[in-house]
Amino acid sequence: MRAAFAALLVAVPIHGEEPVWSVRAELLVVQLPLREVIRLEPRLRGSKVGAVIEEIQAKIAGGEAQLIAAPVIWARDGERTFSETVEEVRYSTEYNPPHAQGFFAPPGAAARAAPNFADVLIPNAERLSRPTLDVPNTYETRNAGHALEMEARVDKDTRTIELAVFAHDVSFTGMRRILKTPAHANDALFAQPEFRTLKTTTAITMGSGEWVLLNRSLLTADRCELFFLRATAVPPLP
Amino acid sequence: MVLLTSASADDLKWNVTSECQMIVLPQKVALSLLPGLKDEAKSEAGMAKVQDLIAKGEATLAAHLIAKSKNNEKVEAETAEELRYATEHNPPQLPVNAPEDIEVLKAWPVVAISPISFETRNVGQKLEADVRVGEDGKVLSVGAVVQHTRFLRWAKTDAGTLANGKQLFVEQPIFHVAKNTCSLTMRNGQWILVGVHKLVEPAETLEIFLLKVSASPAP
Repeated sequence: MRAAFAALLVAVPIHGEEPVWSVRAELLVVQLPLREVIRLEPRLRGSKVGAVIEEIQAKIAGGEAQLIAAPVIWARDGERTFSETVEEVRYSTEYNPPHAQGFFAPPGAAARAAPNFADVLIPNAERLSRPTLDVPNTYETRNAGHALEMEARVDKDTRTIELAVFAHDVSFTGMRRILKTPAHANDALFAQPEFRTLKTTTAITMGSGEWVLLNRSLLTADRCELFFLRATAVPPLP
Repeated sequence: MVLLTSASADDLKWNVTSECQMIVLPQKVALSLLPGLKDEAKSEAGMAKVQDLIAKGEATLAAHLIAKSKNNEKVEAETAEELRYATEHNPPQLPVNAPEDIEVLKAWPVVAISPISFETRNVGQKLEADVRVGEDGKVLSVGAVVQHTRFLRWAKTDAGTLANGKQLFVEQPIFHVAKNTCSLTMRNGQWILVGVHKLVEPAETLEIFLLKVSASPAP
């Protein structure tokens, strides 16, 4: 503690500022078979997590574990920063309805005085294969990927860090058709995206340089995703 | 855009150069290099190794942005392709005098979904930095935003089926963004690893962001 204060005293102020500590945070997001997670379970808490990380990194190199993300961020004491790696998935949320129920959208449909343009235009035998036209005209974007956001404060003892952290992994899992009629049997009209979100928002106190298990989620019956976090306090530069 | 502000005598004392390298590495190589790049004592050697990999073609330098500024002023450097894409469309219009004959309409030569509204997205790399130089110039207080936006592909959204069975689509762009904001205290001229991002394409690759800020006395 005395050494830490000495470091504070010798650090060069930046235009009159108090010298501040920085914090480097690393998130490791990995997917593992459930049986492996069960085997590692006794060592996933407490001081043995660091050894587990080395084991997991060896598994990543050997192809037995899948690396999902490994972001790194820096923040000066008390400041908020973030890292994100995302794919922006765009999908339609509104459609221009088909005028006169299909085919082209005739500007003069009303003027034709036909109660239903398609009824006039399309013989009954072809009704089931009637064309559809629903042009998307409004979109939304969802970020699929991972993000790490943190605000850190280094304690006076300089060995522990108060960390407010938000970590998430959002996966785009596919498009789901929401309309199934004979007219839409073979197309993806009105398909909407499905996402899976694994998220942790928390405030924790952790030892500088120590790995902690932040989140564990069961993805499928036999696969888990784990979030590990390490924050390291970096003293003001002499 | 560089914002020019009234500066004190102290602010005019230093010129600042902010540099960012964005490097794409095979995942296995990157994972073996990361511990060294995170360790201040080994970061110079790690940086030399990365440059060696680039020279050998085993790593790809995606960007090397350099921005110069005065002390305590924001600076921005960007290399971008402005990609325009349609965001709203009008449905196809049937000519007023078109015959009401299904066989004629099935073979109608032109069916167009007309884009009526567009947006622009900058695809490329960007560095923003706000640097304050310590009194002796050895230590720098740095706030930075580093971003790499990629265009991945066009995604088709179904817009219906014509009478002749032909599918109609509108296309929307899918972008990939790797971004870091950071605030830290750095040594003058020191390379620091400020970001690590797993890429979708190429598969099994990581992109690392390395930042260096140098200050020199203004002439």
